[in-house]
Amino acid sequence: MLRIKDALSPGNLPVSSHFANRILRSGQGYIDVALRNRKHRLAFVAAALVCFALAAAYNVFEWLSGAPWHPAVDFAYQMVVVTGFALFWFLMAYFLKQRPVGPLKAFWTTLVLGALAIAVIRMLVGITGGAPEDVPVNQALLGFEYETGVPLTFATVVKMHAISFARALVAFYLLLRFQDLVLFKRTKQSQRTWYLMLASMGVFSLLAILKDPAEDPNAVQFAAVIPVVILMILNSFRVSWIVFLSFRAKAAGVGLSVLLMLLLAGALPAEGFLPAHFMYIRHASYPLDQFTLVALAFGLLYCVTSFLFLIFHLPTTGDFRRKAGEVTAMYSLTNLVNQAFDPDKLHLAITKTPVETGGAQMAWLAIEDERSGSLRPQVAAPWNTTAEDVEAMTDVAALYEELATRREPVILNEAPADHRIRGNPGSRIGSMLMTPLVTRDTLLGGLFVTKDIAQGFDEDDIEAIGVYAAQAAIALDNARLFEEKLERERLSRELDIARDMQNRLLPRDLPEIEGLALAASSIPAYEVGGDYYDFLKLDEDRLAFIVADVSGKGISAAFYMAELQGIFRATARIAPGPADFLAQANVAISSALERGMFVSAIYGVIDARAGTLILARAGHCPAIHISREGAERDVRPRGVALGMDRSTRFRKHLEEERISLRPGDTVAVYTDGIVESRNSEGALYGHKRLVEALKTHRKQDASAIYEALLANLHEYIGRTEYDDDMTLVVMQWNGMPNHTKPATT
Amino acid sequence: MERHAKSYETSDDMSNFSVGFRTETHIRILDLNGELDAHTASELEAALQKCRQDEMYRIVANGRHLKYISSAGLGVFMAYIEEMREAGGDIKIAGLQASVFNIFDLLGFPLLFDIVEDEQEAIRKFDANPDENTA
Repeated sequence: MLRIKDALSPGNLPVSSHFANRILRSGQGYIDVALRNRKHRLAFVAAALVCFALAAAYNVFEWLSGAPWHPAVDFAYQMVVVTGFALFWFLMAYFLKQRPVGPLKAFWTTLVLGALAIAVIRMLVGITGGAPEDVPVNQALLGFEYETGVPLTFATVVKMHAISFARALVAFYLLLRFQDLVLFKRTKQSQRTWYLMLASMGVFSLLAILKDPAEDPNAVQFAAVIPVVILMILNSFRVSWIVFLSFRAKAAGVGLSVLLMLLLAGALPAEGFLPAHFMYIRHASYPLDQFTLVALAFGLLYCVTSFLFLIFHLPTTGDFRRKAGEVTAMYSLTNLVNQAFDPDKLHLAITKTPVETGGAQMAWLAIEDERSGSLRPQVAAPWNTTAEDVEAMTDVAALYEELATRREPVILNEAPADHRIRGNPGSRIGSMLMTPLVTRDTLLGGLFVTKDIAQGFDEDDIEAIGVYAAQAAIALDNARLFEEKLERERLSRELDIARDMQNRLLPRDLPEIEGLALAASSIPAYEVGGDYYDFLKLDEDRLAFIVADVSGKGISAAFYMAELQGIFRATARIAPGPADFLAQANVAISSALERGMFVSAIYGVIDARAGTLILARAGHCPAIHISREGAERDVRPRGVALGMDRSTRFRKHLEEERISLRPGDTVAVYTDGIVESRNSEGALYGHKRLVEALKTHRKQDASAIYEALLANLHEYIGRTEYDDDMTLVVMQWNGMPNHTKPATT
Repeated sequence: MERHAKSYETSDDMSNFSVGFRTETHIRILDLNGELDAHTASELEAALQKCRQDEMYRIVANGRHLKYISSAGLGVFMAYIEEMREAGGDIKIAGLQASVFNIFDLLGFPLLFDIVEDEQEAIRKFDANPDENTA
């Protein structure tokens, strides 16, 4: 017995403590698992009934024979009774576990059961059976032979078992119900303490086995009760279920715990209203008496601590409820973070919570929205008010500015005294708390909450809103990142389409005209620009060309390129000259261009037979004309870009330039992507460098010149990714074929 | 002359462009600094939007410190000129450096915009012709 006790007390040999842990943690677990099986349950019930039957039979025979049994049989009897009640305990544990109840119900069911048991026990104790006149008074009262403890009447046998059962029922029920309360916040530690208490109670009560019922506890028992008391005290302070009760439930809990306390205090002591009933239990089973005694004593202790904690927690119930509300709100917001990517929805969710949890009367956000292009913070998601009212009641910009500079919660305790809060008769702002929404060092906006009374926000509120705002900021940030990602994906899809479109719009093959050598291409930048070039053979000798640059990028630029192509292909043949072509193009494309967009273009017609070039320019980079001898000239007739001026003024300001070419002359037309390319230091390539390169390579043929120019450019910028499209067209006239041929032959 | 020297810069670390605001009686002066391209055009746009919000339609864009302008930057001027003129104001461009003026000139801006030597001339022109709409 002592060895088991050692094994069960903490801080012993590793092996024994391991063993103890096994028992403590899984002993009950194995039985629980076993009891889930219906057959096992029935076997348990049958075994318990057999135990009780055997015990009753033992006492009945004792009564009939009038002599005590042999000590060995007595020991076996004790073991059978203990086993029976142990089985009863596990069965009860199983059934109560299937029907969990709340704290208050645990109290009042225990109370009712206790009251019933007291009534039954009181009634049973009162019955005196047999022939009372034959026996001494004190023995008649109890019905046991003083010397041997043998029951004197059959009624005594019934009484001892019925009373034992009644008290065991109440004690077990109480322990098992209170177990759920003690282990309300189950931790390894709390569970360990609880099961250790049960085990120590068991050990303590088993020490009483084979003891004479008349004997009082000896020194060993007193020693064994010390750990029981310590563990009981430890467990009685586990009352965390209390804080989650509402005010009414707590008040009811106070009443119930007092009643149960009185009931237990009245029933337990020998002088209480159940005098000497424990003697029957001791005769039936001394260990059971001891176990139920400590179990009920624990119940009494737990009622006292519950009562005290309930009383202390009554006044703070409201605060706790509010805190719990805030926690719930925070949780719901955290959930929202993962779902809401619609900024408007999210804004509303953010301002709604402080008002709904009672933390504020009004709430709104001030958001500096880059997309609106405005530098002023905008009032968003007003809750319990309107954006107009907020603008009327407060100086939104000034308040936001303070928040932006301080970047910490700002409290206006006497809001009407602040110059930024306007003393409007309908104003309901008594105090205001503004909290910045900051993530990753970026201010996303401010959360403004108000109350109609002055000094409405205490430290707790400021802290709670602060934590809440941090969550909200993360949510906002997430939504923004998500939106940006969508935007990026959209842009990248758009770019793919635009690139594809641009590729198809540019000519695949260059036309062939005798006497004229051509080289041209457009190098698209990563972000598709709007460079366009094209050629059209007007007749055997004449070639029309266009080089254009649509301001803007992406799909809209590609769209205008397509438009330009249509205009070029349709109009080039019928336009009398370059200026007329550009004037018509201006009219055609102006109607389609959106505000702030324009197209620079250069259009020319080369006559390979006559050796002439007529050229008009609409806001485009000038063409470069280089002779074989190296004389260079910018061809820059006057002209405004397409789409900038929709009136007839466009045509009036447009000039044409006519150039007589000489054999070996080169004309280069380009877009600003070429001259505005930058090297790693950010310096522009520039018009001058282009002209110099042209001069250097002027004696080569068109495609060689073209290659040399690009090579020169690449060498300068030192990389192969470009910010803008680059288009370069090189045209070289090699003389009039029909005139030169006869001269050479 | 009363001077409202409320000037604040809008710039971010990425770009080397900024717009400074000054108000000269009822003329808003925008000091353009650095390089105005597709990436920084939105800042000029925001500045012009602010002018519109403040109902300041007489605007001088001072390009003394403007080093470069791309077609996207020019597009911003294009986008606002009509509106400002309809509201009785104008955008005058002043003090451009030769290389930047060349870009304006290539596109034919001098035909449509009032491009002047310096800020004072622009202010004089506004003062001389309070009801003038276009150059």
